[in-house]
Amino acid sequence: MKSMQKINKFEAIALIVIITINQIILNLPSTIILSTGSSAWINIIIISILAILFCILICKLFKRFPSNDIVDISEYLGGKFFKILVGILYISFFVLMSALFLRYFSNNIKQIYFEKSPIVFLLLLFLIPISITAKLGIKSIARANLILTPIVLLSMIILFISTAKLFITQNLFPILGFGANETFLIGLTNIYSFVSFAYIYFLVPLLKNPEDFKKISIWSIVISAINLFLGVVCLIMLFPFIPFSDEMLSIYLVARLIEFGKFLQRVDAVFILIWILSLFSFLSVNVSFINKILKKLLTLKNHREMSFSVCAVIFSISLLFANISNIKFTQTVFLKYFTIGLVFIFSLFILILANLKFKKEKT
Amino acid sequence: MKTKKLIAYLLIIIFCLPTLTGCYSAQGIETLAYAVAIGIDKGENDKIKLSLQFALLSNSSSGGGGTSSQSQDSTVSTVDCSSIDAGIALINSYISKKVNLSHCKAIVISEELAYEGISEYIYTLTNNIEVRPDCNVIISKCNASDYLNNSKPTLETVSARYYEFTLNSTEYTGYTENVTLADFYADMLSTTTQAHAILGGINSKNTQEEHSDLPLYDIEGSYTASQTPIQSATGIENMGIAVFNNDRLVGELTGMEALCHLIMLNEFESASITIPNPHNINSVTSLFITSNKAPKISVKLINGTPYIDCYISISGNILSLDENMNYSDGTTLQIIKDYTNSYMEENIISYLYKTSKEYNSDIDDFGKYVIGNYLTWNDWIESDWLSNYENAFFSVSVDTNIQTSQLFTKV
Repeated sequence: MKSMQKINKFEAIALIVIITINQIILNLPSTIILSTGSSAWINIIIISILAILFCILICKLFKRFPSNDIVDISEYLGGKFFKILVGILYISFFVLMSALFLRYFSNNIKQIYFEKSPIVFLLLLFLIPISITAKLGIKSIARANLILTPIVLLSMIILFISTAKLFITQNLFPILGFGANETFLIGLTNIYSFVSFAYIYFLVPLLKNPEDFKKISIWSIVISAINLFLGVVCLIMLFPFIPFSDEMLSIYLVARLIEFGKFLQRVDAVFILIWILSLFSFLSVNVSFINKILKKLLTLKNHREMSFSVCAVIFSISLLFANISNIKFTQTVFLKYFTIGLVFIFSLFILILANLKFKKEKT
Repeated sequence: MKTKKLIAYLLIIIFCLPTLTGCYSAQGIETLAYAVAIGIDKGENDKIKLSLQFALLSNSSSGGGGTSSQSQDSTVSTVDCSSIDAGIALINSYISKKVNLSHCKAIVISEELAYEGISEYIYTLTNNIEVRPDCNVIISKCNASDYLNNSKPTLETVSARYYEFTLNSTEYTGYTENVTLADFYADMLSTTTQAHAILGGINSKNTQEEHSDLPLYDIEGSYTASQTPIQSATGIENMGIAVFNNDRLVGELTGMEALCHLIMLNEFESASITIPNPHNINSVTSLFITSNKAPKISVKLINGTPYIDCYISISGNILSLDENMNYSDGTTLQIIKDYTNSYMEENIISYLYKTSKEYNSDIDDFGKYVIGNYLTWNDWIESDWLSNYENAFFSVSVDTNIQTSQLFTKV
């Protein structure tokens, strides 16, 4: 029964890739462009290389713990208290991500299509199905996601190709954008775009073949990096004003420009539908991961029953964002540094120290 | 087990029920008034005068399951207001339906208002979800409300389609450019180019009777909107381009200048031009020209002064047939080619200097050829390209490939 809940290589890659895709849909490229200007594409290349190197390092550090996730490793390193601390931090992180993305997307959907509908109604429209899907377990979610991810990826490629005729390549200049400092030093903080590492830390115990972990991680980071690069390049080349303006949903502006001759116009509704499904998948993955952590922390017998409670918490937190200013601040400041601190620094230290402890114990 | 299943099914049904209530705020086609064009004038009492041209639905649309066709008529409502949204709210309160801009095809702004700056209105309309980015921006030489009132489709039954097709004529005339709201907004905020819009006007009895003293061979291209001597019922016409500096209108271009502009932007498709007949000064030769290759443009900064070099390649077919000419003769074709080259070079040079010296507005996006020379945004902004364009010098060479006549080569 336990092995039936394990996911294969492709399902795992799709699971990680959908996280980045949702970030792209919810304005990540625009945020990066705002901080670096026309050099955002160089910045993406640099942080992508760093992310791949980071990924290789993580895979090496996980090698000694072939069936453990970051919570198990923290228990090994610092005991039960430390495990609870790390667990709570990751639960907070996933809850915050889910609440923020849910509220941001719902706000946009409300503006575009459901002007009169109360935001609560839209939030519930997402959360009720998710609380049910999360109960089905990670395997079902991963399988559904494996069908959805290629469709979402294809939609992004169509978005890119169909607007390519409008690209102005000179918009990629001045090559250093807002400056060398912003591109190469301050811009390094944009590594938070690879938030998918947070999910990679919990992947090993879910895999059918844990030895595929390295392959899965690197492939998913490479696919995410390519997507991010295409998203940023597309926006810079399409909108010359983008380094100085702040859009609610920049990728939607791209979708509004698409038309296939005189007969097929206004296809943005199709993209919105695909993005809604993509958000469903993203939230299901998050709730499922939160359930897994809760199971470990509380030693629950049936952790899936927690789905309703988790969704209720996400719902409540998403209601806390009173206006767009709160959402933007949480997204561009709080979540950015929380991600860097937790995913790229704190977790890395846990892995390094656990490896040292392992080495010490062995000798 | 059975009870559990029953409870699960009941829960699913209960949770699904709210999703079926989506229709409570739904609005049918009958409850909405679709504006096909927006007109903005300088207000008499208030800040602006907003006009909306509505498509009138024919009776067949009201019946259950009937077709939603539109009658030939449209109606224009005008209101003095402080902002676009306030005006729409006032019109909403006056008409029995809710104004919807999702089928708006044209934004018409009067020349008078455009001279004072229109960024406020363009930002508002760009920010409106209902207004599509492919909606055209027209600067009207008359009042925008008059422009809308005179827009009477004669060969088209649907007003929205009428605007679409009228503006698509640029594909085969080259006398204006199909400028959309997205283009105008992007150009207005760009640091490499300036904004421009379609120039519109009314073809009235006065313009029809007006005699022109323009030279014989370039008469058709020398008109702007409201100047063409077309003998027809009063209606709107779009000819030429309105040139902006930032958000203010600074001048207008004729049909021929618009054609040159399209060539420089590589958006030119095809057009008919008239050049002097090489063998008879009192007669003309008509050519059908098409774009051959993208123009090769290089911009050099010599002591801070822009030097812009353009190489243009076009193809042409001879439309005229003259009894003294043999179009299968290589020498004749060479003479026509030389005439066409010098005619086009003269027009393009004159157009470029007009945009540079007279209007100081780089509407051809030459800035994009220079931006790569700068490393950072600060350097680029400090170079102040858009102001420096006034000092630009141009060199233009045109290579026309005269291919063939049509059915006869000699008569």
